[in-house]
Amino acid sequence: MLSRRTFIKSALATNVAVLATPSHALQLVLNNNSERPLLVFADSSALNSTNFISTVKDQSASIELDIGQHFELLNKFCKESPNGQITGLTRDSDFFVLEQVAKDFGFFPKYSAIHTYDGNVLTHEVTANKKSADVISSSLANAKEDWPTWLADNMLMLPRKASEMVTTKRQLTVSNAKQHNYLVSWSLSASEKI
Amino acid sequence: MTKPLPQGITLTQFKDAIAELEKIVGKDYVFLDDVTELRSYRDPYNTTKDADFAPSAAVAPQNVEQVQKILAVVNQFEIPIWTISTGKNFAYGGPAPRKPGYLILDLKLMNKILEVNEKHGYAIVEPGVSYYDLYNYIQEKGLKLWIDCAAPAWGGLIGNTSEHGAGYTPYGDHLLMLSGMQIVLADGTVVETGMDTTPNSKTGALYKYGQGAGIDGLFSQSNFGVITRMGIWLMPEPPGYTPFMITLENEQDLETVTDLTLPLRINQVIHNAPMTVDLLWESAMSVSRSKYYTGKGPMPDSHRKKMAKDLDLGIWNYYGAVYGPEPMMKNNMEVIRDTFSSVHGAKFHFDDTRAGDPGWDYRVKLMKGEPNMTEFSLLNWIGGGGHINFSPISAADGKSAMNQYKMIEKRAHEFGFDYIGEFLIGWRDQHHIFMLMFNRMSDEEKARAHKLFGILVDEAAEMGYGEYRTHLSFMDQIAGTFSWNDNSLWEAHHAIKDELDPKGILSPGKMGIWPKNMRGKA
Repeated sequence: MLSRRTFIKSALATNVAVLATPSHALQLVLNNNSERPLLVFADSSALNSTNFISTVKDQSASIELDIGQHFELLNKFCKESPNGQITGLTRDSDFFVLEQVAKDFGFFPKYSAIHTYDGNVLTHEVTANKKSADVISSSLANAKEDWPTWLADNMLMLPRKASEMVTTKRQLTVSNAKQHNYLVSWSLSASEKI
Repeated sequence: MTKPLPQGITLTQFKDAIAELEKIVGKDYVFLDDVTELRSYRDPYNTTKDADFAPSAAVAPQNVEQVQKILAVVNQFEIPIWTISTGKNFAYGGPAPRKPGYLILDLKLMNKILEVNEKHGYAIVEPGVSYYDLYNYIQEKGLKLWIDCAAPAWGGLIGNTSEHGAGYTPYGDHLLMLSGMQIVLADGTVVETGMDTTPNSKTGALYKYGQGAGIDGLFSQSNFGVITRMGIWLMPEPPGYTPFMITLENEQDLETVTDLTLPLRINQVIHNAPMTVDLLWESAMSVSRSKYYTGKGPMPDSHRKKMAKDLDLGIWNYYGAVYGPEPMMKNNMEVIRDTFSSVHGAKFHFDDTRAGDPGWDYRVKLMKGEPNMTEFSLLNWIGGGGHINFSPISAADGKSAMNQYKMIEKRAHEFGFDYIGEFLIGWRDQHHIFMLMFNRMSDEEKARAHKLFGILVDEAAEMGYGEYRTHLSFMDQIAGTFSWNDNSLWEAHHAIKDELDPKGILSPGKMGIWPKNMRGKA
């Protein structure tokens, strides 16, 4: 039988110890974002998403296939952490549902990217503010197969300001294209707290 | 973007009205910012321009008195409001208003569970109570009651019931389970229906009618008042529950199983509303389209068959359940097995072999009123999936089911879309839900879906089928198909509207019911 699970991890960014093996880059980010609570979602049915989440230590895992089971955690986080950040690398439907719930608490997408494979062509389609969109799509492309790790390492640096959004696209050829998932990475935050 | 204003209202008048509303509910509960606040009141699945359904502002009262005061202000300024509660109503327009510039009256903060009565099996709730809220309350109190929820359970009881929503337990006809309402009319008058009108009554949620005309239905799918409270019957937790699934090999089996089902349903051998679900709907719960087909247009038959084999699914997949004491369930299941044994290739599935399959798991939860959001997985069938639902009603007979299915499938394929659908057999009728799924990031696909939907409405009407509920964009078109005797039904709706809401402030255009000052101008 088919099964899938959704990982949720939460971490208070001040506590560097929550990271299993923090990369140097992420360590720097954490030091620069010392008060930012973070909630991260990932999907274990997709290899890239599993790679992404493995960078963050599993601190508060509630796991099952139904995104509705995470509403309580999400609502609590939004209420208690208005300056927080919610990120993920998930299926599009999970992002969609979480986005709709978080909207009611003033959390909106400041960054999202669609990651698709067509044969051995990997496409990153990044939507963010003008300043960030091109930088992020280039960085994802430069990371090649390791883009989920790059994303995890840099999630606290994803844009948090509300401004005009643009979309940029980068395509690259990869040698190992076993993934057929349509995944979305995203970041929600409340812009007025910036 | 320039803020849309209500039709005929100047910016000065609008600001004056907002100032009055802020005095009633406080500044924190009047929402004006398009970026950080009003995006909660848009329809992400709209197939036309976002601006077509953009509100000017939203206001969230916390009690009936505030609702009355808000109505006084909008009557004074003649500003149309669009009432919503909790939940999303996606595929049917979401929380967005029928026309740009309306003010959203958001009842989400009126979220009290006023009573849950275990002995008599009912709940009395306010509009902001979601299925999750009521379910959690019942679980926390340890009450032996079930709820009957919408498939995405973030929906609200009052919103779903008043939209004629359906569920999956024996209490699935939500409007049928309504008993007693409180409504605020456009002039601020508070009305209670049924038995609660008598002094000290405790029977409003027990007996629906009282003396005189039963008017509850007038406030469903309409704009004659603001519902602020509702009694809903809840199913006592049964001693047993046996869900089952039957996979069917052939397209034509839809006709056969529909005809076999009606007597079982009417005679309560199958207690809930059985569903016949197509292969793609079921498959989409666990795989995406691109795994089996990356070409353009609808998925070819050969790919469908391979997918069915891989996932152990049928071309159609039939779900139902029986409830009650063990001997009763055993007897009923024997009758059901005997009935469906005549269908070549029909294969029964139960929890022992099917558990862990996302499609099975979420249906099993729904048929026992356990809220979940798993159905959203469907939208991963295509990347960035959005959808609007085409929902015609027919008799629960095989020929009607096949006629609808073949017409819709043919048209969907002509327009390059997959047929993704299910049939649900109610007490006598059959709901057919065609999920018209498109890439919500693609303007071209949305335009194509929009055009297809309009054609389906007309063709279904020609075949004698009307829809039970629809998206904002198609409310007028569908209202036009209920046209017998020179539109006498809509003339009656409009006469009531003009009497109860002379200034036309309540949800103008809801389901095609327009106030006189806007009639013919949509």
